Amino acid sequence: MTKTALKGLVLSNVTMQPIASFFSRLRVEFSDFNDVLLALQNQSSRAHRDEFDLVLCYIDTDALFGDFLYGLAPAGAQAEYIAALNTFCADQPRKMVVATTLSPGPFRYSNYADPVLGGLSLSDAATRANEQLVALVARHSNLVLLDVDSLYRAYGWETLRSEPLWYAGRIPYTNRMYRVLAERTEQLLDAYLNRAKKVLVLDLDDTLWGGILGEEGWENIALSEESVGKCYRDFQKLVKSQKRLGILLAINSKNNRADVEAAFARNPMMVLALDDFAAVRINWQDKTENLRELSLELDLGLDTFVAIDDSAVERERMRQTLPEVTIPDFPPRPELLRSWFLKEVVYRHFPKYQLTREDSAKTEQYRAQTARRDLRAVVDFDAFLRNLEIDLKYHVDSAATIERASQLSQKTNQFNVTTKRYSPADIMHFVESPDHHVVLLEYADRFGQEGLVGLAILDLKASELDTFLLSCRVIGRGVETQFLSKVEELLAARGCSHMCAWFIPTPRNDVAADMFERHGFEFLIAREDGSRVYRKNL
Amino acid sequence: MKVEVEDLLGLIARALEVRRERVTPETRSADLAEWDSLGHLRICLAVTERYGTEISLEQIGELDSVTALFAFLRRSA
Repeated sequence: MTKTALKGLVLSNVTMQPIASFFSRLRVEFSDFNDVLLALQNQSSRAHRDEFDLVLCYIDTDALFGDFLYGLAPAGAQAEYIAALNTFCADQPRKMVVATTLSPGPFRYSNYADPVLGGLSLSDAATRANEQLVALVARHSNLVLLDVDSLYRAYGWETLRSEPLWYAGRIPYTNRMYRVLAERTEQLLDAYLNRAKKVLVLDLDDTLWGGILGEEGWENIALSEESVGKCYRDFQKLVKSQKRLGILLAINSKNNRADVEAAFARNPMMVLALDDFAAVRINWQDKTENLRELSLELDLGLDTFVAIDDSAVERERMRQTLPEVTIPDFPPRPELLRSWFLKEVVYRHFPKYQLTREDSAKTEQYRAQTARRDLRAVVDFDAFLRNLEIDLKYHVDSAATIERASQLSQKTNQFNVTTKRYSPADIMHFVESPDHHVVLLEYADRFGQEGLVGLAILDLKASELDTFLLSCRVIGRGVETQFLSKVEELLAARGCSHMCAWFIPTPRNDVAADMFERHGFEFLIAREDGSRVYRKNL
Repeated sequence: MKVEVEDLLGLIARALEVRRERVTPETRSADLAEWDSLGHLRICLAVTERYGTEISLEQIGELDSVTALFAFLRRSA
């Protein structure tokens, strides 16, 4: 990072020193214990010095209320503190000030009743103080509030507070509290300094909906108001909410454009529309290339991008090639999508501390933008593939794979050159026939096993490739090249001097259309129905 | 949770922000300038988080060496 680290001074009424090690970017020093009022009011205090870019006021509510919590004294300290904060923000307009909100503990001497002392109840005292803090934010643009109440609700009072350490050394918190306070503080800083990310790039299959659109069709993808479908629908609603807040949305997906258009136009459960996206890349090219193009089209640096993709392989590829792009891990199950997106993506990468009306107009602005930027580093696709450590195994005429072979022939629509559908009985026939080979491809790489993902059926008598298909899970990794060599090897072993192959076009198998040209086949003839015949000498 | 000496030594070094080699199984708080009262509370915070055992107020004062911390963790783990 080229930005120099910001330096902050911590003011507190409790021991805050343990927070120091949990900041990842911020450097902090600590004012003397419990001199908050003095530090804010006295013009010669350290808080007023230029060496500090910001002042962090971590005020613990229970410590601030003191004897009020025992019913022994009326609340008053909060009013003095807020007045001092007001003075400081006005005196030091160029210094950013972070202040925690008030959140009294849940256990009270008056138990279920709200204790009233000096005409003010405990809840009212906290609520009124928080209202005054919000009013200060409206007056001082350098003041940012950190909502502590939401931390107690998210993690629980008991997991964030420590009684023994409080009595041992005025440490009221556990390490977890110091950790989350540091994390939230830095997120607020990012928001305040406009360092938040700007673009949310989304994959489609198993990300915005469940299932593979190209395989299952727009009417069968998981997107509904029930169960798994609802997970994805709720996720879409949250994504849409981010667009309304001014985050630019983009698509980066390996799919057929027409399928995606149909899905957005016709699936009634779709929350997002294609129009919601400021820029779109739906094709079969390398996703890192798409990211570069999206960056050019939107005229925004890749360091403002957050890319969401369910595939570990795609994520790794993007991380390796474009380290400036932020690529969070993806949750392992769809029911976690919503909470994961809020916690790990929205809070972390798109923090906002106040909302503006202009935000929601951004998508339209960027859609119109056509400025271009220089291309960055060249993609080394071969190095990426080597790095994947792909391990392929072949199962030839194995009775154990008959069910899977049939299933692949029935379900695979995209990388499928002939799209012939076979029942298990059909496959069994090929396996037993001396004139055929049924070859299953098993795929694994350093990220794990994909299992049986490719099928080839060879007609040995006619020297013909009857079926050749790959599951969409492994498309784009050069697997077809190795698989085809294996097929050639098997034919040659049976004395075939050449191989014939067919490409039968369907609305969905465009991705395999140039497969034979790419692998040294000679184009022979095109039939009336559009199917093409190829030949290659072995 | 099984407590390993190595793990505990690393935790103490991180809490005190000193190099790992400076903390040995024999180290006592008096041996290290960084193991002052605040450093000690940092160790207690880290131990509580790492091993999930709360240290009582009385024990906080007594666990002033690696040996004492290790014995405490073995008793309570």
